[in-house]
Amino acid sequence: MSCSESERFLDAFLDGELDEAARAPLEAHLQRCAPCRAQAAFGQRLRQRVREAAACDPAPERLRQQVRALVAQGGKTSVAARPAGRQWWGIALAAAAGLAIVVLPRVRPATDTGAAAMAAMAEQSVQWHRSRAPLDVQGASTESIRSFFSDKVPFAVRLPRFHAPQAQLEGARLSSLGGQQAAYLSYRIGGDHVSVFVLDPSVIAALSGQDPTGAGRVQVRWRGVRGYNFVLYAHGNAGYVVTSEMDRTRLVRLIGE
Amino acid sequence: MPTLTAPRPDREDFERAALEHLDGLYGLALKLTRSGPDAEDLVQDTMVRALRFFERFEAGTNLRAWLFTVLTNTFYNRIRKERQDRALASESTAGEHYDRFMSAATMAGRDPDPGLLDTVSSRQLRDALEALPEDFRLAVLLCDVHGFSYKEMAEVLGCPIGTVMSRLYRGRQRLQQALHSLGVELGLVPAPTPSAAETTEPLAPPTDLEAFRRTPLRRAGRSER
Repeated sequence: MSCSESERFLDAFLDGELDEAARAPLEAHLQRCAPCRAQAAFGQRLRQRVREAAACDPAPERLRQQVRALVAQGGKTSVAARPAGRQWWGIALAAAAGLAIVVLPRVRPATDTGAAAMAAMAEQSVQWHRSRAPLDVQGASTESIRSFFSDKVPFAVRLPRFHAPQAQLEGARLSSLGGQQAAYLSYRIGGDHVSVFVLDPSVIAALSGQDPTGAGRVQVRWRGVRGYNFVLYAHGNAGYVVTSEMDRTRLVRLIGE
Repeated sequence: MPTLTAPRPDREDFERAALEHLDGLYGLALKLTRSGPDAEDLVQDTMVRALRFFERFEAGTNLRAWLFTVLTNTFYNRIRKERQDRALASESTAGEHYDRFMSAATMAGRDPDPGLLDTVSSRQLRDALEALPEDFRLAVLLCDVHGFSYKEMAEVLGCPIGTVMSRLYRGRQRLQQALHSLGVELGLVPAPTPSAAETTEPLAPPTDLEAFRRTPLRRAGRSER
């Protein structure tokens, strides 16, 4: 058996899909060939690590009870029992697919359901940051950022003023949020990465579950979602979502009132 | 006249099976939706559908695989609807672009580095897993986490075994590439040089398991003696 044949069916072998007769020549090849053996060891370890990484908590007791109730009712749903968050369904999916898209609600959610959208934003910025994906605009020039976005988003992108002298703007990128364009600004502040999404102000109202009344006045709201802190506010004709792993007090103090 | 077929499963059987596999179903839903409330919602929807179609369920069929099939279809129905709403570019197109980009940029990382697998945290691996397009993510999860066979996966995913193998292969390749990029970032492995990237051809995923099962035997008889 050649290496290319071995490589071709290594997956089936490691997944236990080959019967004894098909396994034998592959095993014989692996005995002889160190590179293929290393490949097999890697594949095996990868499967093991995936299994460990994907391990999660058991289904919540609440869900178990809901299923029992559902069976007892013969499959009729009780709408009240559903968890909130439905409107936000596509968000995590889009982010998961590696697409820089966050779905914004067509209808304003009646309940506090912005969490998934914000988690997706956080994950998107973490992913961008980690992958060192190139920014559309590099560096800290306010003017180049403003002019880059001037014909791309329907609001003026003003840079947030952080209460931190060491705040360093790394650059900006155009982000597509549910078909609407938004500006993504990447900052580094004292070792922490801070992401700022500048978007249509109506989004802020939807995300914080508040009526967009009092627009024009700067109202800073904090939310914590999945270990990330978010500060939301509207300023001028744009909305701002600031997110970071830094602690709440520091982040809120950074934005100020 | 008495029949010799297995008795049709009733509602009690359904409840028993549903509760027995609830953790697995919830676990998969969580990895697909990446949110607790959405996962609960998806499982609930799955149960509603499963109950509705349970009458058509044939006795003797794999109840576990069937429940995962309903969950998978419910999930796909939702994202299809979401995508229609958004008129997104199709996932497969995006996936192909990504593959092309990745194969050019990072296929140099094909040589496995076992140390890398032990260096990355479960969190990093989970992020890489969750970043996979859902077709690939689903295949990898069903196989590695839930232990389904290719045949069962073909049933759950409603596609031929060749497609299952191709998705698994591509999903794992991407995971490996993501780990490699992470390794480069962490300084554990050297960045690919342009020449290496240019000369590396992406491998074609294997798709014909039956053909393979038939061939090595004959080959072994001819060439290894």
